Amino acid sequence: MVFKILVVDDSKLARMAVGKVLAGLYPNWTRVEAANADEALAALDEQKPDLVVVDFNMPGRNGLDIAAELRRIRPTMPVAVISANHQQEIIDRANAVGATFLSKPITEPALRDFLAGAVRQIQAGAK
Amino acid sequence: MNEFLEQFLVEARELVEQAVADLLALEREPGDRASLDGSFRAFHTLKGGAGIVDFAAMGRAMHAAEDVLSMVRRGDRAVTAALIGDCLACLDQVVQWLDSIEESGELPSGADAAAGRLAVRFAAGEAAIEVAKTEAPAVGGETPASATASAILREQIALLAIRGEGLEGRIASAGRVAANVFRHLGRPDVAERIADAVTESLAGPERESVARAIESAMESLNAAPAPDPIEPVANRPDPLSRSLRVDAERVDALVSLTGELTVAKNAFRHIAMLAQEGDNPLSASIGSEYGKLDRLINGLQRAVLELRILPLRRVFQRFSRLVREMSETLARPVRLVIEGEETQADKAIVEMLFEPLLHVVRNAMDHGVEPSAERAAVGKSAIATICLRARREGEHVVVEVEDDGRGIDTDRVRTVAVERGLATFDIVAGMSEGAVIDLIFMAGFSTTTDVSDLSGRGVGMDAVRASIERLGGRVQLETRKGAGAIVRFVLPFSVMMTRVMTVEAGGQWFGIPLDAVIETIRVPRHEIRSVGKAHALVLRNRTVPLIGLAATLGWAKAESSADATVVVASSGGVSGGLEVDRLGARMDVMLKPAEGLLSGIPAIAGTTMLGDGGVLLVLDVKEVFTLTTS
Repeated sequence: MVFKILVVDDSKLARMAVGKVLAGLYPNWTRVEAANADEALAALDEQKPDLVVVDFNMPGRNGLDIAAELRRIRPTMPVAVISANHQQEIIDRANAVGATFLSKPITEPALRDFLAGAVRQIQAGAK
Repeated sequence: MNEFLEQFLVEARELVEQAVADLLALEREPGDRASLDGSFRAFHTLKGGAGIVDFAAMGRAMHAAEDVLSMVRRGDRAVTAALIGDCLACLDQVVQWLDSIEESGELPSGADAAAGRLAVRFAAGEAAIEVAKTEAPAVGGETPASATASAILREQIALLAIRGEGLEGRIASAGRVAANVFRHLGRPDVAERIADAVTESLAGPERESVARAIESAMESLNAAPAPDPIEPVANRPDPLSRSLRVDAERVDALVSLTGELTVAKNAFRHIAMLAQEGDNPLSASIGSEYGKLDRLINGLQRAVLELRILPLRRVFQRFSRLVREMSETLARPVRLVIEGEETQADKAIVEMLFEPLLHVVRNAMDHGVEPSAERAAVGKSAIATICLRARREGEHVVVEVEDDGRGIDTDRVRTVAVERGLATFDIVAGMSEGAVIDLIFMAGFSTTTDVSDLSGRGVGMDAVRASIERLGGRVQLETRKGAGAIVRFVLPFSVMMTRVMTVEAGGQWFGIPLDAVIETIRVPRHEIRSVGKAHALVLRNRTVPLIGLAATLGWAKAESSADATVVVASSGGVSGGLEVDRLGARMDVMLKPAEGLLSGIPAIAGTTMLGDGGVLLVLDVKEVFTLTTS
């Protein structure tokens, strides 16, 4: 299966870093990028991504708010929140909105686990 | 440079800019949550970016800053000038690192030490707060900085006490941290000893020597006199020149080699011409090879000059902190706005622009911007604005400093000019406003009644004008009474450096463009022949006209020595020998068209300012030869 993933981060460098790991894992997937909440919501509407990775630390609405909003619109879509602040509070809040917490800088094993889980979840939902 | 590093440079520069703006805003309004969050986020993203490009040292420094700001967010620390200063110093360091990456395409080496110093600096700030909180004297008479240093060192000793796997890594890491601490405390000798202990420890079975070296050094630390306090920001080495020095040398070497290559090429052209005249069978191929060489070397010269182009950001960035400091000193709140910092200019200009710009910015702060009360009285916003602006206009780069202060009081300028004896009352009374403003550029003019710390005395706008003109530019001044002033530098975009050889003739030094010089020789006087009134010498079977440089230019002729020193030169198809008294050095100069009295002297291509303020006349070789033949 080939999926479309939305990467939300205000830093293009960070998006490039996620893209690099992703290209190593799933070279055929389509990657869509957004730099803030508005772009993310527009991309959700227009691009219909299958899963989303969103950075916690962004100006304007933070990643948790965006994750909550995305999950509200698409309750079954897998969402990961990435943060360098490995605080229990953020992890708990991510879990509370049904998102997976990933610590930054993003590593290949962490992203691989999330993506594999997401693929299983999407396929299970499709059946 | 890989795309990640390129993107890192772009983002990090933006983040630094944003962080500086937020920190300065935070300092003005310590309760402003948005600027606190903004600066925190900037450091956080900088740390993230450093992690992506594997720049661990920068990551550590950013982490230290982030920690401090995080404490402020939690309400555990207050926003103080020292805290903002530490954060700004941290950003200064980032800029240096970014410059270094941009120049070399690689992560800077030796960043660990600088990152360590920053971490210690932040930690020292915290320790100072702790000490102040408990109102207890510093432990054991140690200063906060050395208390922190001791704490860090004790941690390293504890780290070394852990046995088992990874000990070598721990030895190397603890040794490095400890050495950095001592370097920071101004004890490079101790740092060296620790580094030696690390090498010894890693090489042999002896595993305890590093911990012992740190322990004994700590004892000496407690016994030693208090270390110097952390240097204030203003006294730190100039980041621009430090990060540029290596690069500048390399580029200059390249420029100089290219210059030499041009000289060699010109000598070759001469030979190509000789070959043609001599009916040499190889002359056609020599000629065509010369053509190729000529094109290639010209291309090389252009490419090398391109290397010298830098963004003005290099100069502008330094002003954020300087304006902040001046604003504090004068107790006049000023906001600095920087526009067009991406505008590019020749390295020579970017490097030389700092001093004159600093002077103009100081003037604006000192004389232009009114005290808050005065601003309030005329209905201006309490915070003054100084704008540093650059743009490209055709072949020129325009740099402006605009302030919204009181503008220049032309009546006051008139009075001062009369007081200082620069002009009589009748003359200034009849002057147009523009002409009056021009008086500011006269040597010895200064409108301050008191000597101020900032603007100082003795160096005025005349010095600013002189240094801008030395760069081939000009200075303009616009003023609106009560509304502010604009000082504008109009500079050439590319500065063509001419490499000259200096020669002395008739007691005067001249420059001869090196690309006209074929060779320099000493000729016994008896070999010089007289041809009518003129002289000539035979050089490789060719008769070359010989011209006494001093006599030709109307300077007094020097005493003749046994041998004649001759510069064989060729320019515009005319060649010959120039007899001079002495040969000097070779140097790169920026040519300025001859003006005023000098414009009357024949055969002068232009002038250039020497380092000592003297003027060197650079010859137009072709015209020198034409002068004598006509």
